[in-house]
Amino acid sequence: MSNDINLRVKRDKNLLKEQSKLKVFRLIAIGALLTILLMSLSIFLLNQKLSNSSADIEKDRESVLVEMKPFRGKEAKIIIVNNRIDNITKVLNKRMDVYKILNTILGKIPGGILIETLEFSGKKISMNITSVSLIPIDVFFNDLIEMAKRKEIVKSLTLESLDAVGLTGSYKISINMNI
Amino acid sequence: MDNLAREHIDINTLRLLYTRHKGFIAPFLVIVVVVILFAKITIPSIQDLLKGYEEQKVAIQTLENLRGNLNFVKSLDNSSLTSQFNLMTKALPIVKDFDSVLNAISDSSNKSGIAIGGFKFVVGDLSKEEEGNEYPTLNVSLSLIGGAEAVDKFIGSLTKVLPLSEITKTSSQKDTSIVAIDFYYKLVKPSKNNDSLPINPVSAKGLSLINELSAFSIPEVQEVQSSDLTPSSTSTSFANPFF
Repeated sequence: MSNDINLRVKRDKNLLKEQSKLKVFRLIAIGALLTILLMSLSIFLLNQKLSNSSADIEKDRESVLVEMKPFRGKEAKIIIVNNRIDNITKVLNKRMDVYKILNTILGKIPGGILIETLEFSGKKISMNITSVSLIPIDVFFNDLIEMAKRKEIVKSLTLESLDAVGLTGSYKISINMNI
Repeated sequence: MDNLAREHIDINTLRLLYTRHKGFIAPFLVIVVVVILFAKITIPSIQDLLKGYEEQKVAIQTLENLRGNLNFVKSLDNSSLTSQFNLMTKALPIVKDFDSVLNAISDSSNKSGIAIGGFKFVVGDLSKEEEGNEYPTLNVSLSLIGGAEAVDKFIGSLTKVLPLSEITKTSSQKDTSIVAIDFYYKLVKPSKNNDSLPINPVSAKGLSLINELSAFSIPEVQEVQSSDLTPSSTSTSFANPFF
């Protein structure tokens, strides 16, 4: 007898299929419910543990802070010392050593030369000098040219003017330097 | 008539479907509730938990830093630290310290033997740092008795005196000169949550800078009088025309 024409058998088979589907569906639902319950419980326990250890840490922090109180002055001092070191280093790296510049240039001036004016501003130096002889002027100027060649302090040099002052019998020169 | 029949059919169909699948309804609802619970409660709880762990990590780090700082600060020698502090705050004052500036000028004048004819002091707002300037300064313009050599001598003395300064301009004639000087200062900005940062000991570079600066002279803070700006060793040839 073919199953196709026996409706009772076919119905039973479908019913069994349905029941097994329902069983699987129920199992999935129970499994999901149990999983979420377990997860919630685990999260709750972990949270408890976390808040307990956080409270311990906070307690420790408070006690260290209390212990630290008498040393706050020292702490502030060392922080300021370190801060000053950083800032002073920056200032020293940034600032121009004008004393070294002027001292070097003035040190090159031989005897017999009189400085009439000397101006320093930014990266420029201009000076007017006089001398009764051209020799010291030549020596000084050659030294400055050497410095400019070596780029030692003086980067560029311009002789603005060289005048012979008839009345005093002296020479006056005007120099501009870029440093 | 047709409509009535269709309604009957639909109700019957629904009844049939309900009878057939009613066993699925409860598990289906359970799964829906579980999904909603997972999305609305479990996921945010996990996120909160992870956030809590992160915060705890930071708190542990802060605590370790605090303990380290405490031990370090305890180990510091107070007198040496105080002298370092005094030196460094003299070198770069934490306020517009015009007393120190005047003393530095007076000291340099005395040491170089160059008399000061007068000075102009640009102090500005005493409570505020110059806005937007990384290196704020107090600007002083001095008139010196003497030419370029006098300026050289005076600057030579000033470079060995604290607070730190920089010459920005000089203008020398035969007998008088004008020198513009910037004296550096820098406010200490209060930092937030200092406890979370470890305190570093003074570095080797810092120690060598401290050694270098300790060779500088620190003029004692005193009431600077106009006569103090005239060098004691100077004779009448350096007489100050202002006093």
